[in-house]
Amino acid sequence: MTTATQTKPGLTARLKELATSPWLAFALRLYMGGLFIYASVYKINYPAEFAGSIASYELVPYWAVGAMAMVMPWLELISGVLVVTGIRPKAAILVLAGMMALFTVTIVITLLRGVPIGCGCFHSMEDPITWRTFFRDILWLGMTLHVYFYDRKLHLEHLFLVKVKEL
Amino acid sequence: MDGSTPRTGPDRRLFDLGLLHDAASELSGLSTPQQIARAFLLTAMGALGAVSGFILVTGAPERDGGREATDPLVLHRGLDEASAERLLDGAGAVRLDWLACGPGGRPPRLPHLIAASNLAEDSPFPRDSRLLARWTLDGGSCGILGLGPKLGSARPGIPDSCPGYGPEDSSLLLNLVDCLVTALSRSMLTQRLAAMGQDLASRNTELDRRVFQQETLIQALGEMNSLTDSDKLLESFLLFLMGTAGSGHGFALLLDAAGQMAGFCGKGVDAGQMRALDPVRLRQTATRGLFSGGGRRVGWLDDPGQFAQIGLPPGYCGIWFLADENVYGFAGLGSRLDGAQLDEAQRETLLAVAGGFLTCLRTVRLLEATRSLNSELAARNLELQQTLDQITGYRIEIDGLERAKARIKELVLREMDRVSRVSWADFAILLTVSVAMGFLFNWASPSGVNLIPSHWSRPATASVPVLKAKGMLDKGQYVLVDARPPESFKQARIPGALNLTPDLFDFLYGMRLAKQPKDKPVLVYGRTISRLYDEDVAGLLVRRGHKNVMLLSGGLQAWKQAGFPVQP
Repeated sequence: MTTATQTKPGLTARLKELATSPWLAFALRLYMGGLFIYASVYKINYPAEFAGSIASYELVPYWAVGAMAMVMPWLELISGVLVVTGIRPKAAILVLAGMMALFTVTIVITLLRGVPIGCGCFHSMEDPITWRTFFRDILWLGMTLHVYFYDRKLHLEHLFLVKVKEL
Repeated sequence: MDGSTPRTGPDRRLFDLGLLHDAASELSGLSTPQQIARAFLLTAMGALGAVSGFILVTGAPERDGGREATDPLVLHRGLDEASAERLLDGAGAVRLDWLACGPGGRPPRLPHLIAASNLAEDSPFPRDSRLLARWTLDGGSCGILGLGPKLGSARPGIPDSCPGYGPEDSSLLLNLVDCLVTALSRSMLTQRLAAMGQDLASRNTELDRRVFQQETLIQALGEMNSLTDSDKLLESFLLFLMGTAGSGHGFALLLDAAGQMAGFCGKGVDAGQMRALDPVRLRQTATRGLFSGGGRRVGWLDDPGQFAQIGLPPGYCGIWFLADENVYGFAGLGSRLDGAQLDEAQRETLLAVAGGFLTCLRTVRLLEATRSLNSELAARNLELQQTLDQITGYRIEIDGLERAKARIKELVLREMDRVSRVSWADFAILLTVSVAMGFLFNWASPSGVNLIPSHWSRPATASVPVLKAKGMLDKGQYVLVDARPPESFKQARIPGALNLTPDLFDFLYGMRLAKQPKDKPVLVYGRTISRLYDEDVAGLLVRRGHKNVMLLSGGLQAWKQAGFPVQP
C-alpha cells in the first residue's frame, strides 16, 4: 500500500514531466511550424482560390476578402518559419494559435450553419467540413499552446542572447 | 752702668721691674722673631751688664711666613770670631742636644737656667758663657740665651776677678726671658696668623677661579642647552672658548664618520684654511686621547708637530673632541689678546666647556635626527594621506562603476527579459511584413487577387424590386441568372434561373446564355456577405455586350421573404 502510494505520485510526476517536456514542445513546435509552412505554400500560389475559400465561409465582408487572402498565407508562412527556427517563437506561435482559434471558431460556425463547404485549409479541393475537422483543429490549437508554454529549446535567437547573458 | 745698678733691696727690685717694663715695651713694638731676638739680646746684655751674649731660637717662621725655618736663628754680640763661628756651626747640634728637638723629647716648658759652669769642651757655646737660659714655646719653638761675663769685672789674665751673676741677676734674666717668650709667642702667632691669612687669600683666589670656571661652564651650558641647531651650537661653543681663553680668533669644525666636514665656524679664520686637514689623523689623535685620557672625550692639543701632521693651521692651540663614533672635531684658538699663555686652570675650564658642548651636541644631534625623522614621517604621512585620498577616490570611482555595472546589468537583464517576452511590436512587425510580402507577391503574380471590388470602378448596376421582378419574370421578359456557386444553387434557387458563376463564367456563358439576344434584359441575383456574385456576373455580362443587365434587389433572401417560390 505504501509502495503503491509512493509509486503513484512518482508516475504522475513523470508523466507530468513528460507532458511538459521542453523537448516535446520542441517537436510540436517543428510540427506546427512545418504544418503552417506547408499550408501556406498552396495559398500563396493560388490566392484567388483561397479568396474563394474565405468567401465560402460567408463571414468576411466582400471588400476584405481579397486583402485577407493576400495577407493570411504570408502570415502563416512567416510565423511558421519563425516558429521552426526559434526566432521570436513565442510571438509567432501565438499568431499561429490565434489563427487556429479563428479557424476553429469559423469551422464551428460553419458546422452550425450547415453550409457544405470545404475547409480550404491546405488547398481548395477538399472534402466538406465535419466535426472531425473541428477536433483536428482543437488538437492543433492545443499543440500551439503547449509550444507556447513549454518550448525553450534550440531557439536560434539564443545564439545572440547568450552573448548578452555572458556580458 | 755698672755703678748705677743697685745690688739689693727694693731699689734693685724697682730697677728690675723698670727694666722688665722697658724690655716688654720695646719688644711689644716689634713684629718678627728676628727683630725681637736682636732687641732682646741687646736689652738683656744691657740689663745684666754682660759683655757678650748670644741667642738661639729654633722653630721661628721665616720672614715671608709659612713654614718654620729648618736652621735655628742665631744672633750674638760681643763674641770673638772663633766663638761666633763655633756657635754658628754648632747650632744644629745645639738644637738636638740642648733643645731636645730630636727623639729625646723636649725640655720643661717654663724658662729656666742651665748650669753653664761645666760646659763640655766640644760645646758650641762660648767658653765664657756665664748664664744659659732655656725656654720652650707653645708652637714647639725653643730657644736658648747665653750671657758672657759681666762688664767691667773681667780682667784679661785674671779670670777669678769676675764677681759673676747673683741670684737677682738670674731672676731678672728669667723674667726678661719671660718677656721674650711672650713677645716671641705673640710674634710667632702673628706670623702664623699672617701666613694663615695669606694661605686663605690664595685659597680664596683658587675658589674665585673655580667659581669663575663654574659660572663660565654654567653660562655656556645654559646657552648651549637652549640651542637646537648644531651650527649655532658650534658657533656658541667657539665664542665661549674664545671668550674664556681671551683669543682674538679661532675656529671650530665638526667631522662625520666619513671624514666629511659636517660643520664649520670660524672667527677670523677661513674654511679654506682647513684644506690640508687630514680627518683620519685627527680621528686617530682623538682616539688616542680618548684611551690615554681615561675615557675623557675631550683633550688639549698644542703640539705644533701634531698640528702639522693633522693639517691644522699653525699658530693655534685647541681642543679635540669625540662626540660619538660618528662625530668628532676640533676647536682651535689663536693667540690670546694679552699675549699670555693659557694656564692649566684655564685649560681645564675650556675642557669643561668642551665637555658640556659635547653633551649639548649629542642632544642637538638627537634633536636633529628626531626632527629629520619627524619631517620624514610628516612627508610619509602626507604621502599616505595622498594615497588614502587616491584610494578613496578610486573607491568612489569603483562604487560608481559598480553602480553603473549594476545598472547596466539590470538594464541588460530587463532588456533580455523584455526581449524574451512577447510584445505588441512582434505582432506589428509580423503583420507588417506579411502585408508587405503579400502585397508585393500579389502585385507581381499573374494569378493575384483583385483587392478592389470590380463594381466600384464602373457605373452602378440598376436594381429591380422583387415584386416588379416577379411580374416581369412571369411574363418571360427577363433572363434570370443565379450567380452563386453551384452548391448554393443546388440548395435553393428561384425557379427558372440559370446558374452562371463568375469563376466559370466563360464556360457557362457559352453554354447557357450565348444564344440570348444582347438586348434582352438580364436579371442577376445571388450574393453573400463575402462575395457579390451578382455584381461580378453583371459586370461580365455588360462586358459581353448585354445592354440591359439588372440586379434583383435584396436577392434570394428578399425573394423568399416576399413569399415567392424557390426550388427545390
